Amino acid sequence: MISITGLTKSYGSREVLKDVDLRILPGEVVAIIGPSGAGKSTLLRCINMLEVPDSGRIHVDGRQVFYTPNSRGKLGVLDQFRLTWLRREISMVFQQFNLWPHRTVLDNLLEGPVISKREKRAVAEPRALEKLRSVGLEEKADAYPADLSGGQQQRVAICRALMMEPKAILFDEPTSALDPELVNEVLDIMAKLAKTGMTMVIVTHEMKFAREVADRVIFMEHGGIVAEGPPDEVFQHPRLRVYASHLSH
Amino acid sequence: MNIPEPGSVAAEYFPIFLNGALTTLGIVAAAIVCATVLGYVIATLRLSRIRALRIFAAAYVWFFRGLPLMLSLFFFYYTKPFGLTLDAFSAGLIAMSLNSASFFSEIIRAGLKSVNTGHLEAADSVGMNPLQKFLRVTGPEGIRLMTPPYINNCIIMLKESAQISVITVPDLMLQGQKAYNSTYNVMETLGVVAAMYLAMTSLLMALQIIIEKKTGRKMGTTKSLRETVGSMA
Repeated sequence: MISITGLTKSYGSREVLKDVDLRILPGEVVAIIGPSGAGKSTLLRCINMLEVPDSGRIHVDGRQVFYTPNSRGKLGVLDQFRLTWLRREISMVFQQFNLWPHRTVLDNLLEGPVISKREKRAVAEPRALEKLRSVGLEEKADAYPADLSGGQQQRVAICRALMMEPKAILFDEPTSALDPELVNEVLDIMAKLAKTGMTMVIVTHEMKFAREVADRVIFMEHGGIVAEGPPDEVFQHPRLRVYASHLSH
Repeated sequence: MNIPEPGSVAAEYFPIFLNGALTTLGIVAAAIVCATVLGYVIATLRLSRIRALRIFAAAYVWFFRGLPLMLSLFFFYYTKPFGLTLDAFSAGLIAMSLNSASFFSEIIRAGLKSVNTGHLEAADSVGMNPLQKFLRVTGPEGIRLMTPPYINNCIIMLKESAQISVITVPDLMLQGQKAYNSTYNVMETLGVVAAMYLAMTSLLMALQIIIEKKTGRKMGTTKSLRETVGSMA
């Protein structure tokens, strides 16, 4: 589904990703864990080119992603036009939700299919309402994001990602900005989504969630992958045990 | 000495004032359009990745923001710039546009910069191209942030347009002055002119309230947003 080879990325003299290889299979749920600054989010954001790598090859669904970073390490305007296909296949859920504040919940969901994929509103709207129903937010369709709690906003953001009918969804620390009592409502939805066979790549600090829901865990440190494999195996890795013991304090 | 009946001077000059007001409105409206377009160009140059363009834009702002409008007016009207002989209206329009563009470019730059990066990335993440991003996210969010300082500046332009009377553009100020000079009746000449200026600026203020209501209210405008807007105004 997603295949990455030899990915490197630096900010100035700081190497954030050092020659990373990663393969994600269709339907797989992969959790990327590790300390802050390990390059987890950067790796995730490179997959849909929100960050542009310095070098390395990325294939999505067998199609190679061609890119050239501009001087700010982002995508140039021409590449942004050229790579809309990539963003339509791989959706993203952000730490800060990033719902558009000037649009209602329903319009947030419709923006992708209607504007980007040129679907008819009448076709997309019932689908959007059904997505909202599935996360228990049907009655919030006409509300604005500012009227929702963080947990509700993130559930809407997950719906927005699903509206693209993507081949995979990237989650960038989806619960890190939430109050503790709101974390579970988002994790529950993600766990349900995992059961439907959606391909998911999740950067998270929720160890319990990674352990229980992920098919595979990737542990990163200092811009490289230190360990990867089934959760039970990876959680026995000495480096990860050191890291996890810091977390539980 | 015959003392005219109260109100008769105002009544006599009213059509002339109305004409002047139309000239004022016309030149200000045209200058706002030109200054906005030019200001947008300058703002994008200022945010450009190419150093030379950034320097050019900064120099433009430094130059025109730092010069009195009156001086630019004199320059374009009396010196025949680049061998062009300009009529008073064109000279006034050019001077006002160039002058105001420097202010607008700063407002637009601040507006473009304060559009939330996360909201733009969200637009990226659903596969919008740069044009769609501009129309669907940058535009709506930017307008909301820019409206108060933008309208503020339009009001300043409208008032400062009185200076074009000095280069003989027959605007509201010039008509008022002429009427005053021939009648020496302050209240019925300058008083009426003042009321007309106030009516025009009130119109702009009403416009601001409408735009703010349309773009802000339904979002449950947050405190941080107001602070951003406040610091820009």
